[in-house]
Amino acid sequence: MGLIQNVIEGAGIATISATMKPEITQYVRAPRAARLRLPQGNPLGEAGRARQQRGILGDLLRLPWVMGEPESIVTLPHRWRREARPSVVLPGGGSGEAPAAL
Amino acid sequence: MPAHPPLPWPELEARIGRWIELEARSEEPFGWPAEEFSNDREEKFARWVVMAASVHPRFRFVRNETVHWSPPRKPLAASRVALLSTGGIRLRSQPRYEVDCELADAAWNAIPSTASAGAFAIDHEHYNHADADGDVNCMLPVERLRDLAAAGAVGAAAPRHVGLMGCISDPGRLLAETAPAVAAMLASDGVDVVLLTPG
Repeated sequence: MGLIQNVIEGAGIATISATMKPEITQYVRAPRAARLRLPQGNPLGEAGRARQQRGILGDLLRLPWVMGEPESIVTLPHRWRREARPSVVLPGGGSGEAPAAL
Repeated sequence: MPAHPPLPWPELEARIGRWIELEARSEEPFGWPAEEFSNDREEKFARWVVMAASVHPRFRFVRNETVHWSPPRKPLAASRVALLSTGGIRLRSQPRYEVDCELADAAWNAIPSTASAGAFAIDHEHYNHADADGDVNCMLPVERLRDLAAAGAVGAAAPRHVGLMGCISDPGRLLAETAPAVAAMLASDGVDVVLLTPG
């Protein structure tokens, strides 16, 4: 995601990317990113929680005005409140960790 | 206290390359001890690259050689905002993405920002999108962006958002064709800020 982000930024458009894998974001050298401690599949929070989603969206969109250093990654405070859930649902309904979420 | 100073990129890249070669030749799972890394991110990243390379033969990690930087030109309340997701999201009426990472599907879809929340489909097998299947705003917050625009916190939603796959083993076509085309569309739509979200 940091690759296409950088091309868009190079076209003169400010960007902010959300990431749940900051170790990849750092090494791909994304221009400007926010780490969210949320599960994959839910970068804007939980289903049906419009207020939470608006809060996360508003926080993400404000970041380009306050982040002054290229390649910086800030961590937002939003946390997952629901019970644990599998990060991937396997064909047939099982669950487990993804082999490689590119 | 880190075990070592952070490895410079060429050294880390070379180590990862050696590890991938050893991993490919080994019958048993192979790895460095954690003490070989200077911090958690370096270790997590290196292990992820080796794992991805072992699962996807065409995988190659590409990083930005030059990092671009375009500060916003006007306040958020006057800005036109577009969304982009790499979670394999599209409208139901648009063609399915190829979910096999080896085929490196760099297709992308322009998504009208007026699309209803029930109009979306998600093609991806590497993460749990059960929540986003029921409420697309978990991943591509189309309705929440309209909320913020209606409240005046955001100038406007751009006319088109963008959906594409995130599981692309080889990003060659993504960089050569998809990314410039997406950037050109966003620029022609007068977009001021883009929020990118993963799956």
